[in-house]
Amino acid sequence: MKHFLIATITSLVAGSALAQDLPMVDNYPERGITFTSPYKPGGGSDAVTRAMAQAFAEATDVRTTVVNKPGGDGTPGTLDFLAKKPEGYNVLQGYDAVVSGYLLGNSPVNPATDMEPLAIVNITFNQLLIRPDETRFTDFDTLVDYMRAHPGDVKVANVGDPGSMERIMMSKLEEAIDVQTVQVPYPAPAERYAALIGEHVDVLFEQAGDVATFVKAGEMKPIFSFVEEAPELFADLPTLTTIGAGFKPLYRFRGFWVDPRTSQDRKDWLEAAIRAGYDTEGFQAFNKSKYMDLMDSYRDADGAKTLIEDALATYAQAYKSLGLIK
Amino acid sequence: MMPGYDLLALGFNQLFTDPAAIGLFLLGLVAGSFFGAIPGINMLTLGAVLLPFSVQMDAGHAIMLYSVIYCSGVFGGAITAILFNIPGAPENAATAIDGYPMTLRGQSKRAVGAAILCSALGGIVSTFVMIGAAEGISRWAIKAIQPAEVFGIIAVGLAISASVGAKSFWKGWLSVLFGMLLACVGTDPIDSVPRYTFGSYYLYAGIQTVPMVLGVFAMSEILAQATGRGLMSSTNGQGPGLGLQEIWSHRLTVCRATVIGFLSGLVPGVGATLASFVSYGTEKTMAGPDAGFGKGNIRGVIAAETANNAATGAAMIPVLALGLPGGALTAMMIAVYQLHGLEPGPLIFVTSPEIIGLVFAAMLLANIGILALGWVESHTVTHLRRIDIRYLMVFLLILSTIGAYAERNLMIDVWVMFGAGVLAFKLRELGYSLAGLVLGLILGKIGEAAFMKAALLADYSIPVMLSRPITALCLITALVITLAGAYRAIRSRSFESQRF
Repeated sequence: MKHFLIATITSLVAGSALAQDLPMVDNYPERGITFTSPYKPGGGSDAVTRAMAQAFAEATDVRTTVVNKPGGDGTPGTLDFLAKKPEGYNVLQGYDAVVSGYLLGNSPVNPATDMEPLAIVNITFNQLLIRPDETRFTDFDTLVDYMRAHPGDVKVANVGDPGSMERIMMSKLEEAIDVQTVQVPYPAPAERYAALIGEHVDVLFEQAGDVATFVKAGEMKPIFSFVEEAPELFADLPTLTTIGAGFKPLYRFRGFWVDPRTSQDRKDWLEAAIRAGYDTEGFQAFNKSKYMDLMDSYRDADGAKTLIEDALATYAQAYKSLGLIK
Repeated sequence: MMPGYDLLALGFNQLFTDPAAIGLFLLGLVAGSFFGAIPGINMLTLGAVLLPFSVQMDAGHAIMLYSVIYCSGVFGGAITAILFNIPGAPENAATAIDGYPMTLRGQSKRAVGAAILCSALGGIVSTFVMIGAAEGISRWAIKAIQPAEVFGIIAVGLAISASVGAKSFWKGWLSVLFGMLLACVGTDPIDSVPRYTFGSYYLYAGIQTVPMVLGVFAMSEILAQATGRGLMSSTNGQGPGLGLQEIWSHRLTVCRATVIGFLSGLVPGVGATLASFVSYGTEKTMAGPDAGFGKGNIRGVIAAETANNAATGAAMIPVLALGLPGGALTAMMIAVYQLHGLEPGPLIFVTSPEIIGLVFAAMLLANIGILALGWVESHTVTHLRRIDIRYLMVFLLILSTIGAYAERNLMIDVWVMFGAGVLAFKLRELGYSLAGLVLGLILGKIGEAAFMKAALLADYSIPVMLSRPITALCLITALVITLAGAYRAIRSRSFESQRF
């Protein structure tokens, strides 16, 4: 965190059974593993990194350290990570912004080739939310009616970057149902939530798990899920399929990368260790608290690479259609 | 749901009957103050270090510990701001403007005393309000203070900051505008378009506040000392302490600063830094140009320190009442709640009243504890100024460098600090305002984002934006302050020319 002293997580659980299942590598690891989160402390990416670092230590009996290098959508932190010796002692956390950043020229690092994914541990979907006491519209259908009757009147709290997954999804939805909204950018999640609760905006675009507390507390009401098949918990909400949107959803995914120059046996060990961390009770409880258990949230190294390559192709197509790239 | 003051009684009962809770309370109080006092390495670093250990703690203990650190951490940064002109964190930068000149005049003990007492007062008042009416106030604030209002407040802040510490009105404004230009480096807050990055990916994140504050305030002084033009000298004189009677004579300043700090703290994304500068500026404007602000007026220290601690108490209100963090440490607190399977928000008052009670009691006692801690510090830390200035400068150089790096663990921040130091050294000699420069950077960033959001919400209609009373009032105030300053500057210039 702020941040050089760093949060160090030492597993207090000795002799973990999970540690014995890891592949043996000569003289490795001889020291602790550093998890770099190129994002702010206190946010979603930081939370995933810390949860994994703790689970990793618990599963492997190897000391882990978390370092935050925030700013610039993660690019400075990523470049700093790639400048380190590729000895397998540094792991980078990232999310789907690595794809958009690369395609839009905000980062020189191709997340599929310039660094190697170890695993994706966190996949979630987006929702539209309104205030429960909203009277102008009470569900998705009445919201669409209202938006058609008042073009450009509805304000949606969203993130700032027009190339982000969130903004692309919202643009595609507008196109699919032929409505127009005003996207108001609030970079900090808390500002977005306050904007809806405080009646600055009419609708919030957010990942389901991030606002679960507010939904449970009756402060927000989900009215639409950006998925093809509704998860059981939100079975009564319309989805892209039920409204015939004609485009595939993009998901928020978070995972871990390693420098591709690292030796293969160390990469294999790290991949196995991340998997072992993912399987711990603590990490599973963390994912559940964020609704990450509603869909298959894990991809191994090969699966992660496929997911990232697919995302690169999908985002590139979306950017071309939106005129963001040629 | 239990009334707030019943929760407080429950919290006191838990705290005083649990030795582990008392131990953690004292740890948080002392460690928060210590980390807060080290430039760049502030309470957030401590929060990060303790996060993994908090998992092993009882939920109430962990959450209480972070609440105490939050109170004592903001106070800690005032000491170095006053003694060495190095604010421990950006929220203490306004404290340095008058606190440091007081030290140069041999009044460090009085300045530190004012900082201690006013930090405690601001914190205690806002904690009492938090206990009494957290949810109602929080809901009112997030409805009433929208981006347009934030922009209005920032406009007042910018207008005031142009008059802080420069040799002339025009140099003051140039300093602020230069700071605002630096705030443009990075990506714009709406479309993430890169600006002034010169092809460097490292500049995408913009100029960070902490290395800039360290460079402008600490490095410029170190360079000035190295060239024999420094203001600081080793001294045995700390002067007399602060009398309660003196604070009583500034009671209206304390009241105004508490209100400003409290309102700023309530809104996510505004916070203690803006609070301290707006409070400082309000007092300066009310006192007039001849009141000696910037030259060691204790009212400046009182205004800044009361406001920044009032803001931290207020910032806990949206965290507890709605689960909305206003800054990085409050976001970390939410993480601590979640690590223990709790979710802050209205329900927590019903589901975990014992934890809320403990937080209330600990925050109130932490603000009272600041008084005791501060008394010890005012009788010990102020002696650091007796160290030979040559050794002291080396010590400050090391601290500042570590502080700049610690912000993000990136070397670019260290280079920014050195660059800002050289620039500030020259600007200081030419009579420009260093405080204005830093304020332009800090307020420019928040102000641009607030303006763009307000414009979008108002469909780019200026009349709609001005139809909001607080916004209109603030913008008119900013305009009046600027025009009055310009009028005085033009008049004094015409007097000068008549004299020659």
